[in-house]
Amino acid sequence: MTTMTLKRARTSRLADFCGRWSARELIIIGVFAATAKVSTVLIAMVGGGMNPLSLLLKNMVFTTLLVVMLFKVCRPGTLCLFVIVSSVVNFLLLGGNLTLIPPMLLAAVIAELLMRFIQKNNLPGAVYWGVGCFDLLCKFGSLGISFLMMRESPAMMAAVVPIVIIGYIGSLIGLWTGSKSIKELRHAGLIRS
Amino acid sequence: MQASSVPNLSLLNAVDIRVKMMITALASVMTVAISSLYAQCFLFAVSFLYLLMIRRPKLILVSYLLFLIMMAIACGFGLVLAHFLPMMGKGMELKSLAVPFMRAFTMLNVVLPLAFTGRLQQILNSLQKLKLPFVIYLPAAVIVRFIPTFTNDIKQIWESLKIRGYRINPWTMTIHPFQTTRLLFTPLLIRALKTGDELGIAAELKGLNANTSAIKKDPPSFTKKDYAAVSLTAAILVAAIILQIYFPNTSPVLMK
Amino acid sequence: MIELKNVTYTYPHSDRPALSNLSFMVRPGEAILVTGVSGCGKSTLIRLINGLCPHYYGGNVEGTICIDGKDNMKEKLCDISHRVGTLFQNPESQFFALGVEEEISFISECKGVHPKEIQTKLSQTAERFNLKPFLKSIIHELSQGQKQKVGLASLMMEPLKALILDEPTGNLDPEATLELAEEIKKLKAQGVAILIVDHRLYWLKDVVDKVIVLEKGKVVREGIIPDLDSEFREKYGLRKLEVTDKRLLLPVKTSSGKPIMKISKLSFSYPRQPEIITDASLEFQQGICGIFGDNGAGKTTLARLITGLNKAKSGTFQVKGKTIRQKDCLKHVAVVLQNSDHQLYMRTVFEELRASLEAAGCKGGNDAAEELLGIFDLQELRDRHPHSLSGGQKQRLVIACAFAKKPDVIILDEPTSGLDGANLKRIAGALKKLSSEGKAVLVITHDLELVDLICDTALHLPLPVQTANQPFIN
Repeated sequence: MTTMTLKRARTSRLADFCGRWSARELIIIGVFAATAKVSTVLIAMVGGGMNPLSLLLKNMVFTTLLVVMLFKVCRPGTLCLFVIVSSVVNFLLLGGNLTLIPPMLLAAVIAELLMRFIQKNNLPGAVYWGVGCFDLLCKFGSLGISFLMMRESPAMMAAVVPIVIIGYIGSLIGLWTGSKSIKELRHAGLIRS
Repeated sequence: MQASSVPNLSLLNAVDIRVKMMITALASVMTVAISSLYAQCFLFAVSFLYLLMIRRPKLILVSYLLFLIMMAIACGFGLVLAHFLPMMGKGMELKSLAVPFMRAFTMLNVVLPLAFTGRLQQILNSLQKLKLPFVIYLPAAVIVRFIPTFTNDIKQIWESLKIRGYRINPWTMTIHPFQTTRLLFTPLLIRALKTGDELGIAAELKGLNANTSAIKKDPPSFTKKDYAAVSLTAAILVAAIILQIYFPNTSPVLMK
Repeated sequence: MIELKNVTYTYPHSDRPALSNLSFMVRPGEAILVTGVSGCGKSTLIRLINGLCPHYYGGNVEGTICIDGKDNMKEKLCDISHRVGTLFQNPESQFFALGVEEEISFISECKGVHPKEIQTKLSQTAERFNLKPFLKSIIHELSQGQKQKVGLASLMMEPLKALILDEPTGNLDPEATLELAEEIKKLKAQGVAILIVDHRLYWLKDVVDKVIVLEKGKVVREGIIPDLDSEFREKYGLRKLEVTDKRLLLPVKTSSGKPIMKISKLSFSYPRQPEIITDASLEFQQGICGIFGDNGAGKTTLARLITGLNKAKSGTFQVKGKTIRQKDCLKHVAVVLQNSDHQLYMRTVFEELRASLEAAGCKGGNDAAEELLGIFDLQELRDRHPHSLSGGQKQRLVIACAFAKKPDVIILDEPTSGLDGANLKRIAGALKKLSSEGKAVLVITHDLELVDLICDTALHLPLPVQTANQPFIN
């Protein structure tokens, strides 16, 4: 009886979570995920995959897009949904690295909790803190996965660590460009307060 | 990433995309989990045969070349570090490097067939077959739908920049990174926002919302080729596990 | 039936109503045209009827809006969508799938309709809109007219009481426009109430039963199309009622003047495909040349060859008598593409012009940018964000940016798509100014009014093969 009640409660909470989204919000998440994918591939192609500058710019663009998306869809769970949806499509289209999905999802959940905490306490910059936290945790996650892949030759991490650091610097810059973009998009009338 | 045309010659086109996803997922997990040199060699060999089935030698060659370059750079970094920290150098012997290398190549071998043997529309159909909740299906479908559109937009943006007289190449990206990124990125961002709004409105006007029920399609059916692929995969994984058990980790670092 | 009674609507954060005291009815089997200059309230009217206002955009509504007897204010947006469908100017922006069959059945699938039922309806709808040969096609391979049909078909999979067409001919050629007119007549015969919002009037004379002209949110005229005399149309910035199709009447070249650009023995093919241009010769003189041809005739390909974006198999390129390499053509040729959003990068209109001047290597800086603002009547918009401008304003801005390069040849792709009469004339004026400054202006367009207003010569595609001593065969 108790198990059934719990299952029913869990199912209805899930249905509740799913039911809160409007088609417009889901579409915006999809569009931004597509834009992020296409932009990062483009930068890698133009600048070269191992060019530190293109690594930096890729992360900067990705973070900027995340910030804009979270301003456009101001709903708890957006980041998690973005990660899930991007992962599913990444996997289908490019067979993307499956092993990165669990750490990214965990990072998204923690970032969402942080944003909620900041908003509940009426502190400013919830989106920026959330995205910054997400980026940082994702970088740790990717370092962890890289270590798992190269555990027999830990010295190879010497190649991975600088890449991740450069990437994170790009993400930090992306928080700044994200805030500039929001201002500009408000000036253009494409995002309203 | 396969946009719209797919060679008809590949046997893998006949295999259901869910089976290919499963192969990719299992291979990724298995190759990370096991550390036996012999098991990795076995997985690499089998996955390479799987890759050859896509019948695109040029693509395979280019992908391997790029990957080798990346691994060589990574090794270079490793050797530099080993020079300053000799303790780290213990893992830079050929036997130890072989396992991470083969892991990476095994993953590449299973990723490329998934990416290059399915049309985008088939991927959309696959999303339906997976019976994902609508909150995941709709944005995923939008991503698949818009990747070709955005790719085309980028081409147009690129040409517009060329027409105006802007030069976009690795050099200009290095000396004017922010301006170059702005030129490439601003129209795309605006386009994303407008597309999101327009399509969102279209969805609302068509009565779509997250309470929309899951798509009813005929129950998924697998063919003999799918069952054969699944059976073969299972056998290969069992063999890899056996090799791991009987020929455990041979890395000098961990043996000492 | 669509019925509005004393409707006044104000957007949120606005103190002025966007529409005031509007009352009209569209009966089943009737079609009504609503027209007016940009900003008159047409889009707001569409949003009120399809329920976007106030359910999506918010705002305050007074009066009643009923579709098939049901008040929009008392219904949810998804319920209103069962009765009224909206087709926008660019139907591709409404597509969710990549293939025709998948797009037409997408909404039915999402709503959980049984697959067998979907197949039956799909077959009937495809038959109705002559889409059966295209069911297995990819949408982006279709012509604009075919895409329009796919958009209509996907709406009409479920029976609708009312249909709204928002500037349906903006991207269509004259032939596809006439086809659309026939489709609308068929839908009327089926009892659908149709509301059309468009700037082009000529194709609707035999289609609509009534026309409503709006200005600043109010009705200024309600009647039939022939009632709109030229004085009225001039006053309210409307387009012409009658348009002469001058495409076949225009000469191939003017009798006087040296060519600004000359291309000889031009050949081109896409990789692994047959040649689409073989040994063609072209001359472009000062003036405005219209480039015409069916979908797939090679208009865009030609523009790309002239600019050097596509590499020709063979051909000699001359500008003002001097032979140049094809890849140097970009220094002499500017192109204004159809999608202005792809061509705007900066924070303000002024910055956009300055950046264009710098990229073109032109000296003069701020002064040159100020001059361009004046030439193209953009002074009041200098601090505005380029993406906040209206369609007509954006179009003037991208033409000004192209002009910054001081090119010898300017190519424009559909510069007046979706523009009202007043903006059409502004763009036409700007192009005439360019032409008078000694440029060769090439316009790829389906807009017969623009052709009528400004084109001096015509170039018809596909290009014929050159014969000896003749520039091209007419």
